[in-house]
Amino acid sequence: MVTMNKRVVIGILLLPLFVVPIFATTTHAESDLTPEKQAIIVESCVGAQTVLQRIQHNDAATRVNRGQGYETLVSRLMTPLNSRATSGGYNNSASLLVDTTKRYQQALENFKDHYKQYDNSISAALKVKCKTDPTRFYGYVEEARKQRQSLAADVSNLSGLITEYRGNVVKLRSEVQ
Amino acid sequence: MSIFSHKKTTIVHKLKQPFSRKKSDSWIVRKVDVLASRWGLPFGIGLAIITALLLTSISMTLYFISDTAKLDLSRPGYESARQQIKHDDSDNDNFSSNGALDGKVIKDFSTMYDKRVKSLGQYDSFNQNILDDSQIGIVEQQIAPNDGANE
Repeated sequence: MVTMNKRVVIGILLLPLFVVPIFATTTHAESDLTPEKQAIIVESCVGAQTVLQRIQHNDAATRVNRGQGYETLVSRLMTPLNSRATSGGYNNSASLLVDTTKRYQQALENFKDHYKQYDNSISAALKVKCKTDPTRFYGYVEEARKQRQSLAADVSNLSGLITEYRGNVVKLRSEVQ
Repeated sequence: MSIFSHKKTTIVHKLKQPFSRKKSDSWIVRKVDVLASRWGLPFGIGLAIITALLLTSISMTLYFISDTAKLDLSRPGYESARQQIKHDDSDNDNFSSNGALDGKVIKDFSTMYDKRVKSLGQYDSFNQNILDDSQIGIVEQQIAPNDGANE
């Protein structure tokens, strides 16, 4: 019993030391490259990493600004209007507004998830020793490109839903009047 | 004896235990008691340091696994990013969730909504070209022509 207690206490003390590295690991990325391309990467990758770091910093600001804007839109405007439309008995418009809001919230979650993945790929590309491992470096860059594509699609999807919600507000106005 | 009175007795017993002279059943309490009586103040300081390290490790773990770190622009190196953050100064643009709906209310809502949507348009939309090889500098280095080449 005493030994078990000791083990539990030691386990709790050491737990954080293992948890951080587990979550900090990223997926391994490889890319098929010609020897010429590899040579170009080796030659220019240090500069590329500096550019990637600048892009990462700018994107962090964009993520915060966009995230804040999207969150404010749903919490301060969409949700209160949905609530008023529902309690006012404008069921047709209210159901459309609620439906659009649900899809908007889902799209916002996707945006957040894709940003995490994108940022992980950029961070991995910055950490890798690109001069000795150009294939892996370029693999992370390609991964980041794909994830940035998903992010752009999320932004476009959210814009579409914002426009759709605005159209539903017009419908609500005609129902009210 | 009902289950509640039994639990009450257990809780009262546990609360009284630290103030009684009886030795605790728990291994860790007895161990701490022995160490504290042997080392006194240094043991207390050591215990405080270990507790602080443990709590810091837990909070750092949560900070990283919750991805808060990704949005934390107060980290070193993010000075330029911090300057790009637009602070939300339109706190009055709150739409109440109570009240009747009429044409004027919806018009006011639309004005607030359009204003916020317009402010979203000023941010980058993660355009694709920025990670192109040519943009990040993965291009064949041009060899500068030497003076003799023009002759």
